[in-house]
Amino acid sequence: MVFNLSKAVAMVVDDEPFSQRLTSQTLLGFGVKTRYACGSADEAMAMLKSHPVDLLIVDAEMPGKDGYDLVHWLRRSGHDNAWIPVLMISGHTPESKVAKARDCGANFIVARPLTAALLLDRILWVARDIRPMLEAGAYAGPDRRFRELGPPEGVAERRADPMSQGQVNLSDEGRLQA
Amino acid sequence: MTAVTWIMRRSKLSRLVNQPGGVTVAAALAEAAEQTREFRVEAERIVLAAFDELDGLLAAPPAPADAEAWLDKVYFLATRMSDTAGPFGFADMCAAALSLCELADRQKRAGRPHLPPLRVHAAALRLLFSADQPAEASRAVLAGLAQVVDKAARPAG
Repeated sequence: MVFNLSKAVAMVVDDEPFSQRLTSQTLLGFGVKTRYACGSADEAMAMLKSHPVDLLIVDAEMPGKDGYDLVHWLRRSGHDNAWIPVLMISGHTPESKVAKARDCGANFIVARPLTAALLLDRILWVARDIRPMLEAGAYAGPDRRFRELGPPEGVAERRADPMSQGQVNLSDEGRLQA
Repeated sequence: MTAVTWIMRRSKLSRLVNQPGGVTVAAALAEAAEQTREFRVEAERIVLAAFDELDGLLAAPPAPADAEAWLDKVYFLATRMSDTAGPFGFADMCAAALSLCELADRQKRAGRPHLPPLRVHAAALRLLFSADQPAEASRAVLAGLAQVVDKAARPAG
């Protein structure tokens, strides 16, 4: 399989400098330049407000505002980057954060240990992820049902119940109103 | 009834990925391995330093007022070990580190640090990080840690 992400603008957010550098260097191997490397959610928020990004890779567990907070904010931000593909990298999810993780709005949560092969597989998967984004109550993010592309290999599929396309209208901004 | 707004927008990434040119997956992975070859030694140094820091933390229990922050430190040291070593293998040590995360989180929720099971984890982490650990022995260590965490989850009494 051939892919081309040489023109993609990536942002890596990780509070651990080593992991941040390692992820950025791995991306470089894939031909993706990390233009923005941030050590905190606050730093990333400041960047995302004014700099276009094509792919966001976020460490879930960070002191203070964590990766889930960042993505939840992003999806509700109204900025140009609000609906960009987001890969959340997670090692351990505390019980207190399970719901937060599920509802944060990331395209995909990748479980550590993170190998280069796993990272590339998930990047290519989100690049081809054609699920629509949606806002419903407290949730804003991709439709959590895999209908067309199917989940990555080895990942359980969420039950798909087809949306009634006849009950929605397309707005000028490309938004469908249910 | 909850109102649902659909946003049908194709990402720029999805357009870029199929642009002419590019590389094969195999070539990309080979290049990534080359780009990160020198990180392994640094990763091992960081993990060993995290072991030392954990031992220092576990030398004495925290003051009650500091317990939550202290357990947070334990938790984030464990995530550092797992995050740093994971890309280079060390699957058993990473599993032990995630077990420590779980234990620290449970103790935090209970509002009470308890040193012995934390120290068992610290010792196991060093053991599993050492070279030439037989797989059967590693499995036994991890099973023991699971029991320790399970016991910590049970209500007192």
